[in-house]
Amino acid sequence: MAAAGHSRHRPRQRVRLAATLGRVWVLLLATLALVVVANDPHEHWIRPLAAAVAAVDAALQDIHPDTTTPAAVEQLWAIVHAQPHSLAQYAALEAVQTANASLLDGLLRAHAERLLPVIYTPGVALACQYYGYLPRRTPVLVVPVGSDAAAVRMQLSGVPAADLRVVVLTDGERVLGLGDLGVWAAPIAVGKARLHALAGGAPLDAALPIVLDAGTDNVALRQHDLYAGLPAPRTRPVQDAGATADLYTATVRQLALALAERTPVPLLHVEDVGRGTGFRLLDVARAERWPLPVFNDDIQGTGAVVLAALLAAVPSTGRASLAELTVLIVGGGQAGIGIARVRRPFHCVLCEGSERQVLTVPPPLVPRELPLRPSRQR
Amino acid sequence: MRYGLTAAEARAHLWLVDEHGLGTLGDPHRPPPRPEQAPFWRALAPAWARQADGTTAPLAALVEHIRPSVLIGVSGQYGLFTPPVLRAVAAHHERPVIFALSNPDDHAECTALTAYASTDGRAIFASGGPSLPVPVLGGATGRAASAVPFHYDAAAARYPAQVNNAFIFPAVSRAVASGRVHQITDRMLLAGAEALAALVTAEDLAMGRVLPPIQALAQAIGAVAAALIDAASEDGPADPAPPKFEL
Repeated sequence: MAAAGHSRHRPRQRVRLAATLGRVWVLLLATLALVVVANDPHEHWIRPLAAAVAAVDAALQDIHPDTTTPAAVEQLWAIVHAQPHSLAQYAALEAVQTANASLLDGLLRAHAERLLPVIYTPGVALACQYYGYLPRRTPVLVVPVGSDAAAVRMQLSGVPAADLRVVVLTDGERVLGLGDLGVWAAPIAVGKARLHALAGGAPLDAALPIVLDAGTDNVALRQHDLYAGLPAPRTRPVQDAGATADLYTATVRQLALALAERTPVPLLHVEDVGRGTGFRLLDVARAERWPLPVFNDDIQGTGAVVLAALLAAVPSTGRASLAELTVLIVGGGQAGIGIARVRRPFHCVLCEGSERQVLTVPPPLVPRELPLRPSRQR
Repeated sequence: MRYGLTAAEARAHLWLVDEHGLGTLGDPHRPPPRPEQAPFWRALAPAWARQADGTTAPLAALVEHIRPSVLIGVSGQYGLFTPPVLRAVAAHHERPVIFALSNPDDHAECTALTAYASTDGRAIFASGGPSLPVPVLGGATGRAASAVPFHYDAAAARYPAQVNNAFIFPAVSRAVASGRVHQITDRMLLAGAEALAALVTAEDLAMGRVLPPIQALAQAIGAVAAALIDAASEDGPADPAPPKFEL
């Protein structure tokens, strides 16, 4: 009896087990499919872009091209806000920009707090990574490395802004933490230019984004179907090569000279270029006395803002001054040295008499003491 | 000596670490510094900066020896400031300053939550991109018992500052647009930094942020631009010598 009961019971258990396993399998497969879809960059990031642009286009059909009424701004904000992620929001903003630039100006100012993370860090990183996939893009001046004076002037002659305040120039070699993105770094220049205008109290077209196309060492990007830049390895500044051999510096120099002819003379803001390039351009501009102010945001901007934060933090640390703090900077690139540089004059240049004497004595710590740079020896 | 330090002393308070380890001259295990790095490289390579096999000592070990009161991350390396590193900084300082500035978020050296949780909430933390507010038990300014992600009390939360260049570069172009700035000098940047720091209120500090909130960006830019222009006029007019470059 017992044996018979056993034999009747066993197959039923097996069936139950199989059914459970089956259910688990279905669940597992469903989860896997979901994960695959969620992680598929095409499904997740790229597909919503077309819909975002279409929604903006539909709304813009009812809005006169020159209108920037608050109602129109709010109508577009609702569309941008409804997008599934920051990249789609960026695509929607680009569609607004290309159709009605003054409306974008109103939109950015009205919702700056919510839109800054889209047009600037961190959202701009996505816009760079998927730049080729954006259905609409803000027009950006692309200057190929090796352009001569005439070519550069020709390109700049098409720039309408009567009073251009700043040019944001990038070659896309070190984009945020993402590395070499070539001309796909355009959103970096566009975003910084927009911030110059928004935070500096100027119209959007007072800041001009320019991409210097010096090729890219990102091989996968170079071979990408949607990559429109020079499909060549990167050209970089060459130290001690003479004016003609250093194509890169020569091109930037031509650009700087052409810009300096405008009235008023704009600022040349250099952004996200390679490590060596950033320092090299600052040094050359200073040594050759380029007739316009040159500013490297990664070196000088980072240095200044970190110093500000440190100065503000000193009272909370319980110390009397910044002098009592020991600073460890992790990262020897432009930002790291930029912080060290801005911090250095903080201690040296501003100090009076006694400090100057200290500088003439070989200090014990570093054998190769660098004197103050020429610009500060006044 | 306005800030009470000689040049050599200022350097003695500054250490740099990069992908090859501690920045020192005459270290056979690392390449020579690039020209811009050389002024900040230390002369002597301390024994503790290298492990027996010549590879760089882990960051936590370097921190243990240097005992920095300020740790600044501009490396682009996600998670570089691990809890042991942060604990090592906090072990020697009541209010350690931790700036994890690489961005976007997935490149940041540590998150606000890690920084507070690893330092008993004592860290003065700031990030490069926007940080979410971090709820902290034990008050916004005092020593906190722990940081827990599921308890939210707006009054006790920290709102880490976004140490972002956006507080500086729009002011530079605005200063240039004034027509009175013809070059960007370190003296100007310094004046800009001091002006920006002066905008930070006691209330800001109590909320855990060492810069004004990003919502106050436009006002901050106005103040920084004014400081830049003032400093430029102290520097005197631009060099009258003609430019020298070959065309």
